[in-house]
Amino acid sequence: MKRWMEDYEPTEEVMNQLMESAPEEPFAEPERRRIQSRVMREIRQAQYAGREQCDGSNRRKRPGENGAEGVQIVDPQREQHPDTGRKLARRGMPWRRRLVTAVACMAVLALGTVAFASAVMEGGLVELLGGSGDRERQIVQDMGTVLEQSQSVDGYTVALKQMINDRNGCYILMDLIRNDGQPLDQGYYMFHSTQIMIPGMECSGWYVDQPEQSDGQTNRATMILHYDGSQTLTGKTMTVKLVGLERYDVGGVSQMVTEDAWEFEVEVNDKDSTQTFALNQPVTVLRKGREEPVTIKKLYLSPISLIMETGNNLESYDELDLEIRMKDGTDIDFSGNGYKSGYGLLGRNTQVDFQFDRAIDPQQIEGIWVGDTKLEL
Amino acid sequence: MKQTVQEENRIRELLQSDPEEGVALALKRYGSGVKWIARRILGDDAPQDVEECVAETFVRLWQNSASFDSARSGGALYGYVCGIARHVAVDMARRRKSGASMEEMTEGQLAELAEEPDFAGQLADEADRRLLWEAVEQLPQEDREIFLLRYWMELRIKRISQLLGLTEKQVENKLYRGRQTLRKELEKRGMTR
Repeated sequence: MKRWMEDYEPTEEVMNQLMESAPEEPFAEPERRRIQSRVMREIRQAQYAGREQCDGSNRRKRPGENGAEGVQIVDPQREQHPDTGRKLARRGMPWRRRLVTAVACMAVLALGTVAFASAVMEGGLVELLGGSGDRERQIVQDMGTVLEQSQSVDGYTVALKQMINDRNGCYILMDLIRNDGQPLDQGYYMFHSTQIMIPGMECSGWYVDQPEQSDGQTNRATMILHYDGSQTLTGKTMTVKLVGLERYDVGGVSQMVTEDAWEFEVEVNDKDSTQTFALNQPVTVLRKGREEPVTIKKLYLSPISLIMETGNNLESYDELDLEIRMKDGTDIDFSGNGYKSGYGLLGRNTQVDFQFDRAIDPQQIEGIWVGDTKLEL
Repeated sequence: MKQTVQEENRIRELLQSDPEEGVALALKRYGSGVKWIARRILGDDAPQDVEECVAETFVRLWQNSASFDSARSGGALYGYVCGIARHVAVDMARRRKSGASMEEMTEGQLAELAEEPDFAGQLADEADRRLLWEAVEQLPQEDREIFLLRYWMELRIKRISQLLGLTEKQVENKLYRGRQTLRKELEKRGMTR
């Protein structure tokens, strides 16, 4: 019977009745936007791969160019890494939990007299990524940059506050502020679209997240831009354009607050904290219950991310069964709550990215395992 | 219906000409149903898998948007998307279970493997299958829901009983009755040989 029902496609009425039989909480807007970003990474990846295979052209398409849809395509061999498409966050709560603390630690800045923190980064990303470890907090401060940019559009200010980056990715912490001092309504605020432009840009992935729902008491909300790409980011100028602002209530109903845009030029810190390891080490991965050989060609490690290049196609980053064990006996949580991950295919190679949700000291790594094999760093 | 057709056409066009807008519209329109299917099949304790399934469903929708048969009746895109979601989720669930050995399966699960005469196995072609689907849709709502949960979404009886607040025996009885009703309906249509 199951075989004959395999290709069944229910009508909307049948599906609605089926859904009523076991009701589900609403598909909340933040979740929907997060998934949309994830889908777009995959689509950009597929568009890029298809283009490379079909016409061999490496001409860069500019964002907005007909058919480009904001995808930047250049010669994948020009930079160090092959192209990648990042999947989105597989978790959100750790950020949210720590954000409460982080926001509490940050000075509340009065509108109209916007003053920015000193050059030493405090609070914000230091709390979010550094946690309670002195060494980790120091790493975040060393890698981080205080941003001092704000722009008001149509009664709302976006203030870029902090940034932390490694060679390929960054987080930018920003505040959305309602200029009239009235509290932001309860709910989530999101930009209608986000455009990122970087010289020499390849296929990249990004999204803006509001980790904590507005409490309805204050006139500001904290947001985080997550970005990563296959090209080198350090020392470059990053254009961040936030277009349109939408508000979503708890039930997921959206309302356009403004269609105007905020645009910033961000100078990315040129300190490169990423170490490169050429491994060419054979390992075994588990695919559909069977062991299969894979070669780990290169590994790129920074306090906030790990990128692996394999000489084989992977169907999923989960196949790597990755574990990072620290000298103090703790593990980096790769169970799904402690990282974001993604992978991109280029020919027979796969690049797998993991971004940690807390900074680590690479010197304190006891070892990195893929399945049962310890990588020889 | 006209509005549905227009909406479907717009989603299909956007998926090809402006994927970002197309995906946004499709997610708003079909996201709840897709997530519901993913969560029912993959379980409440696997939110990451559910999210991955939803994302994969819409990637596949984009990939197949050009080949979707626009001549199909209005509302067909909704079912098409649900069909993709079901396939993706069932595949993921099977992959997850692929490591489980027969020894690890409970007696009840083994019994489920051997259950139910496959009278639908006699249905030979696409036309027969469509008649079967129509007959399933004609079942009383409660029986139809259990039928779809069991045979379309491939949920275990225990899971269905938990979802619907029934005992496993009640679910089995309803499935049995549903099969009988379906058999009679198919006989009326001259289907069962």
